[in-house]
Amino acid sequence: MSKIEIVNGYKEYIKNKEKIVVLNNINTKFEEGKTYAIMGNSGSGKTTLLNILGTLDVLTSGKMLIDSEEILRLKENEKAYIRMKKIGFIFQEFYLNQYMTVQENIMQPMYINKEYDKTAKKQRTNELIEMMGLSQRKKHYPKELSGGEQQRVAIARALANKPDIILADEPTGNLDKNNEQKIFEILNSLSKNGKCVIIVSHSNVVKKYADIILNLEEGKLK
Amino acid sequence: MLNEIKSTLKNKSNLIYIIIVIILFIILNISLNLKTFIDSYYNYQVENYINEAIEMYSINYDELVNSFKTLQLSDSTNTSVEDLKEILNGKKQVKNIRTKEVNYGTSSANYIYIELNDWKDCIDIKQYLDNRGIDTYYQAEETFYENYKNVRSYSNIIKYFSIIIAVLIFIVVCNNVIKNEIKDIKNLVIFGYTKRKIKSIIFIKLFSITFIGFFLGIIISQLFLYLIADILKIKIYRNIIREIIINLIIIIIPIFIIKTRTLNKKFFK
Repeated sequence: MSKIEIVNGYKEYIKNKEKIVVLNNINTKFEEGKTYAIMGNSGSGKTTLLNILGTLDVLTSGKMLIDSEEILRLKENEKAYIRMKKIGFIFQEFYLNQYMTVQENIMQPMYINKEYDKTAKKQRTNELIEMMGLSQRKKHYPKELSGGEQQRVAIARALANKPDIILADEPTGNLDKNNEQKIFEILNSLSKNGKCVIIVSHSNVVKKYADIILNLEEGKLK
Repeated sequence: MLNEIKSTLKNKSNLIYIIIVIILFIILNISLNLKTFIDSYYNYQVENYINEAIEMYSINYDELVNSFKTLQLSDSTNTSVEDLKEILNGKKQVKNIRTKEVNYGTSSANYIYIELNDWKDCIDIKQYLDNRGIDTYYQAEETFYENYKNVRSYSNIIKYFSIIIAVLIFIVVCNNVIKNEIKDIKNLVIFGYTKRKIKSIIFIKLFSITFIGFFLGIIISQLFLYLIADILKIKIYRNIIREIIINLIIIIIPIFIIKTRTLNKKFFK
């Protein structure tokens, strides 16, 4: 069953009265249990596509479905709920809160999840800290961590509410080769556990871990 | 919420804004109390003047005090007491309108006096009657009243000016705090926080910084004013409730404006 589906997806921007077509006639499905790599030149629209998949942006026309539910029709609060329950984001810049500890950063998305009470939040946080090998670092602040550790915290935070979809925008852009491999291994293992993992990356290393490689060229996914 | 407040207060870039807000509220509260201060200072001057006059001229205390609170009509022939009572009807500052007959040998003259509750009311009532073509003069030293009137109007200008400046500076401070926090706010959108929840977090973040400034500002300005009052040996009576209300209005209105503006921006375009 497809987790995310785009049908006749089209996205344009108007800038200085000029129409810029970013995505054109996108028809694609993303299934659970697979790792997808979206590659393409700078400015090809990869991040735009990822934002649309993550309900942070909308298609100009066409349909996008998550678990067979059409997203375009949903209100802001409903989209926010989908982001909270079903989607986890990971970014190149990590975007951790510099003034919260590792533990507090990971817990942050859980505060709006009514399924977690105080005990469940702590339990889930400890689980994720163990999973990412950050037990010795849970009281540390992001500036005290290496790049690889920070990205692992970001991944743990993305998994806080047990999403089925992981969207990663250049997750290894700021990391060395060693850490790059580790991060891709972690992301790949998530898809082996049934998640739909979509990675946008320039790095050729991602090809080793991706089940399906998609190229975004001139607004079309190949 | 507690984590959000902690992270906002730990952000060193926000520290400078806390300091600015403290200074802002100290200056604001001092300027809000300028009139009280000026009134107390001039009351003290009146007491001093009266005490000196009693020593030098052996004049009756009550008479002297009353003279400060009394206006005399320049020309009692054109305006009757009844007309005056009608004109001044409803004016709470007026205590009494009386006449006094003075004999000059073969002739006599009737003088009309307006007694007021407080010497400061003389200025407002004199202005009120001047606007209606009724000329009056102060029983006590005119320059004293004129000085007070000028200083009082300057203090009002300073008060309103400082409120406007405080609001503007406050808006700038809030904008800059939001800029410092924008990455964390964007994260909340990604995590699936609703607009309403994000608005309340922005409010909490801004309020946590400004509340410290407001709280310390009130305390430090209070200490400062009491210190000055002590040095000048005058009593001041502050309307703390009024100050707190004005301070809170200055905090809350800009925060609401900024909260709405921030969420109308598109974060991910």
